[in-house]
Amino acid sequence: MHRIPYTKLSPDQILGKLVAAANGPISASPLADVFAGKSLRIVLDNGPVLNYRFTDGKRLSLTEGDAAAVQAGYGALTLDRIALFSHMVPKTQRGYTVIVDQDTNLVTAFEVWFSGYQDNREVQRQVYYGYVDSGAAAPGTRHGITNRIEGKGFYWKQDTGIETLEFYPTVLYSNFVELTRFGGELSWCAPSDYIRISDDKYVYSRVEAEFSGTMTLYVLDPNRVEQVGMRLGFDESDTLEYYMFRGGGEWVGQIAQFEAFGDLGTTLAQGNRAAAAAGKGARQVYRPMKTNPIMTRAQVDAAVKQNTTLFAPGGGMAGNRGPASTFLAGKELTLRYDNGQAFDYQFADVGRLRWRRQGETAWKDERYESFDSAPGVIMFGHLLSGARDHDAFSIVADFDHGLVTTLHGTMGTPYMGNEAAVKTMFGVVEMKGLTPPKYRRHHFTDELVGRAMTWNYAPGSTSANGAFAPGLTSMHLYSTPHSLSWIIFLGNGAGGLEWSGPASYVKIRDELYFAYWLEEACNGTLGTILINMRTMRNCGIDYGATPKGLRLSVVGAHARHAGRFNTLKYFSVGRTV
Amino acid sequence: MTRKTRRSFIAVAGAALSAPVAAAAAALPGRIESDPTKARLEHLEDLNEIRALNHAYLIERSMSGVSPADFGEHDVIEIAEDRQTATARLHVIVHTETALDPDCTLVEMAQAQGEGVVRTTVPAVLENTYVRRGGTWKILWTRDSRALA
Repeated sequence: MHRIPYTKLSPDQILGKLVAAANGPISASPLADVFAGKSLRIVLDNGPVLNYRFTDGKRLSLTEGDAAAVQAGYGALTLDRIALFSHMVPKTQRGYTVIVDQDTNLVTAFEVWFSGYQDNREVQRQVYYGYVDSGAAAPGTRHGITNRIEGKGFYWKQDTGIETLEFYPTVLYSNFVELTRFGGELSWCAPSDYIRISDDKYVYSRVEAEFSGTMTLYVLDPNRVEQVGMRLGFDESDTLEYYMFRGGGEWVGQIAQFEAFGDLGTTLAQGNRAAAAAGKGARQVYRPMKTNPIMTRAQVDAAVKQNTTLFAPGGGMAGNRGPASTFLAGKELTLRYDNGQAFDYQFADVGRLRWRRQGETAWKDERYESFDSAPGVIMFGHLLSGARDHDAFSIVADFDHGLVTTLHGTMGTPYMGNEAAVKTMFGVVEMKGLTPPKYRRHHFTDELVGRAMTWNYAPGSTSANGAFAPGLTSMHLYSTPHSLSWIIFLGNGAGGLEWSGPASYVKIRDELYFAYWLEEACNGTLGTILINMRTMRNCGIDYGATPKGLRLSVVGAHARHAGRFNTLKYFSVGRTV
Repeated sequence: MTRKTRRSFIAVAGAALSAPVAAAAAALPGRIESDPTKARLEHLEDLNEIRALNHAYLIERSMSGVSPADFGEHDVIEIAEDRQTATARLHVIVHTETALDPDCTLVEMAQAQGEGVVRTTVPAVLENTYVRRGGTWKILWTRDSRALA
């Protein structure tokens, strides 16, 4: 999805494609006629009054406030006593999807529209809460945002045959794996809404912002794992998707929440952005390409020439780093990889090394950084100065077993000059007194898949009035065998913004994993960390290029387990999708 | 700073304790005033005006993180005999909020949602000097003990 060049559709193009939507959404399942022949007057807080007259199960007329009535096709589905209906307003780019609790008369209404953001195809939404006016006194309660389904994960199969894994690790975003549409390799993130109807009925929506812009919106029952919903947008071939769906699935788990007990998520903790103006449909959307401009290779070369920063002290992600390792100082060794490459090393001290490709005579001096992770296991990294692609190595060497795994980072992909690429090299350590294995190697693993771990990168602080502020902290969700999502916490501990990228995981020893992730279609950084699940800390090296230059920087964080989704079976190669 | 030789009124600026201490200050030996009641009234007016000035200053500064400590109980205001200058030592809590360098997406995302800063709180003493111009007290300058350290 990161790589699909979605067309920048014009408003006129969208309007043309929406003509078919005037007849209402299609549906693989029979639509409900729960509203046929009825009229509903829906009063929305801070929103319009919607007067609906449902001619039958497929046609309605709508009067918005004092406006003239319009006729439209619609579709409705029910989940128990919850009814969801959806329609567009003909000859416009807007419409409504409305959720009615027939027991309480409470309503959640999504007004949706296109061409409300600079990428016209991105569906915008405004959520209104209200009630069906039955003539009696207005109810005193409303549906509302919630954190009560934060941390849940589901496997869904729609009546269309589409299968997804969907995780709700934050109150602002969700993480989804398209098992059918895109083969289930990677996961992606989308700004999302989580609305509580009752303790066993919720509304969820997401918009694939920065990608197709498609909205998926449904009511779910987490007990029975059932959903009814609608999908609206344009796919990668710019074909309109506007359909209702019914689905079922499996509950795949619940990961931890980090809000204080009693915090039910009825407000969003927006930190020092709380006073930010909120226009219609406004919400927090992470748009990494806005803040991380794409650079050409020439621009990267020039930036690197101007500034290369190696392991600068005080990095934001190194506040909990361990001490530099002294293990390598004074040692000489060769790292021999299975791809035929071999590198000789001489370590002068704890920060300087010399290397050369085996067979070459000239040594190159580099600054390096190293970390002790587990007894006999050292992680170190360095730049390969002068390399055409500004290459860097992030290396984990197990001196007890003579094994090495190296992540070979290079700068530049076909998509971005400032996006790193990476290859994993397995091999052995050759040095005096060490007999390397002939056949055993580190290997890729799926043991982390589904796990969530928090990473605290800096100590917290206590203010004079006793309030504690945690240091910079994120959560990793190892969402698929080939991707990783990272979640940034809001001030109250709730999950906030989220993004994901391709990743891989190598098992070094039991409870010791060497992982990388690429901040793809983002700032292009290659993150490499050695995760020690016994000491619950990591060490690592980030490798990235920006207009400010190239940098290798240290990562060091403390971990907490945050739970696990039981999803491995969905990634089996033999699984037919 | 007020010189030791300067005859002055001394008052604790905290609201809870200020009235009795101010009263005691007005009765300090050596004070020259033909009408003690008038002098005491003027002194109380000065104290109130300076307190209000301090209060407004702290409110203004609290936007960037300064708040009074200990309800001002340990603050001291000294008013010169000629009522044209004054000094104060105000015990405050300085709140600092330093944005992390957004050199990684984690910090960038945290800042997008109102976090991504390092917050610290440090007790400090603000040493203010006041002048009265046109009959109104104004802060001439202020410095805090962290700057002196």
